[in-house]
Amino acid sequence: MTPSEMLATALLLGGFITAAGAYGLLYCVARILDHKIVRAGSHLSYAGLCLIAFALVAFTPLHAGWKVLVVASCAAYLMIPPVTWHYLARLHREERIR
Amino acid sequence: MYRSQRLGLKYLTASTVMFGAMIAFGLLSSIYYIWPGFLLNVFNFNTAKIIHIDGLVIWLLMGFLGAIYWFLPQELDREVDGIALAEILFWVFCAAVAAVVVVFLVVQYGSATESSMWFINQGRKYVEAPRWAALGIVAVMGVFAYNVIGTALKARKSTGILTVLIVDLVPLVVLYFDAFPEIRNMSQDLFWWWWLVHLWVEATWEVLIGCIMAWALIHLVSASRRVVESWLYVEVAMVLGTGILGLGHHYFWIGTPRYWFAIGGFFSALEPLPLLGMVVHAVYDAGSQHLRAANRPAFYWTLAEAFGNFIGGGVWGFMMTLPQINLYSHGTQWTVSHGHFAFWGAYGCGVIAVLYLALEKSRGYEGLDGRAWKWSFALLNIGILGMTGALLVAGMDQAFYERAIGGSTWSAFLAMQGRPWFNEGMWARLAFGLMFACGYAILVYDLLGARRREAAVSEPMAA
Repeated sequence: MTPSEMLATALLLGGFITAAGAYGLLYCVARILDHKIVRAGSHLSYAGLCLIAFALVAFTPLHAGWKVLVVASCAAYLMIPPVTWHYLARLHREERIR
Repeated sequence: MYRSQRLGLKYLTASTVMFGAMIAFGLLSSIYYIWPGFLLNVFNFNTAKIIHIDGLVIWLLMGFLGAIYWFLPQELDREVDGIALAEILFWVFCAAVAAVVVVFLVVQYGSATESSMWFINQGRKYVEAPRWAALGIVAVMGVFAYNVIGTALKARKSTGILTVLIVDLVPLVVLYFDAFPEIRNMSQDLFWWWWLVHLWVEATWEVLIGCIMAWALIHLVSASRRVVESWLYVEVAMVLGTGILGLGHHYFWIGTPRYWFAIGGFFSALEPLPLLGMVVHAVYDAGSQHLRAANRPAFYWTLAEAFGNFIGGGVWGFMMTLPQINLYSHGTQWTVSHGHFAFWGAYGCGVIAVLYLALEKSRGYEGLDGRAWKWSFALLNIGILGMTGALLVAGMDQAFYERAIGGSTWSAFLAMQGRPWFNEGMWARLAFGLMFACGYAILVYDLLGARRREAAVSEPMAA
């Protein structure tokens, strides 16, 4: 790993989690506001996340195991906001019924 | 108000004082990077840094104790068992902290003897307090555990949050014993030392703040206990599932076997996952409250906690946690940047939220919602963002030139001190540190002034 590759890889890894956070945040805001543009923003953030994951896999000298982990994380980040949201909504719904 | 709650307020007050001391010594430490000869032969950098970091541990620990002494009697509808002993221990704790600070200020360091370890400095990073004071902390934590468990037993009742807290108290107390052994082999010593440092911060403290924030949500937005407890179980399982073996990211370069690269890297890479779940939870709750709560300062500080934890711990941590990057980044200002942001997000914001919740009970809502808290909220958060941004730039410059190009040699280290990006980063850190300190001053003004505002509001109403 050259010095430049080290910095570029670190920045991509930071960007990867930032994109995941932006997707999670915008997903929730879109659910609350039911707003098309915000929903599109969440989709764009996830697309950005996939793009960064692709760049990490294709262009960085990370070992293969870490690249697999990045791809698996990318899939996990897709699921976390909707699954968490549904779980929270179900808990609140059940609580109201009780 | 219960006696335990009055004790909680004392702990929160002491915690706020320690917060100020930590900032003062942090600012002092940052000056040495700009003028290395500052206070030469009078007060050295490493002592300033010790007080800064130990001050951080103590202000958060006092904040946690204050929060739990505040919420516990409300949770069980009774006074805390052994409260008299806890009150005595509070003053012992404060006196011990003051004595240790005086020793650090005046004596600073001693010769390599047993007596130095007992009375001046234990010599172990982050737990430098001399051994007598470390024993005092064990006593305080022991009495605290007795207070919590004894009260639950006397009340013959427990709740989900309290059960999680009681289970967490065991490792919280036991892990502190790791501050004591004298192991001559440095690799072995660091191996066990990280159990204390990492497993307190990324495991037991995470659970502790989870319990505190669960109580805070119940009181702040009248969240359903069942919902909060269900979510707490999920969060605790995820945080512990990733955090315990995430310990491995500290084992990369201390002489441990190679398999720690895989274990540490893998579990550290999973650590942002539960943090994203916490962000979703925070936004869900904020949305269901339409961003409105009677206690606005506490509500906004709670939100800041979720986001700060994700950005400081998740984004900043993931940038440098894989071994191939960490080879260059560890021990640089990059790590310092991550440490500052993660502590602030995960714990600092949570303790401030509890401060405002405690004030609500003692002073009422009217005294809370002024302009001052907004200024302090903005200055503290912009200050920390600026500081961590500046440290990140300086740290990346350091990792690039000193570590990756220079090969971590002594000459590379010296050359690094003259690099413009590094130096400008240090200046920017000091400037944003001053902004952070202003935010702290306004926070204290707001906390002290809440009573005056309450009186001002209630007088016309009475008229």
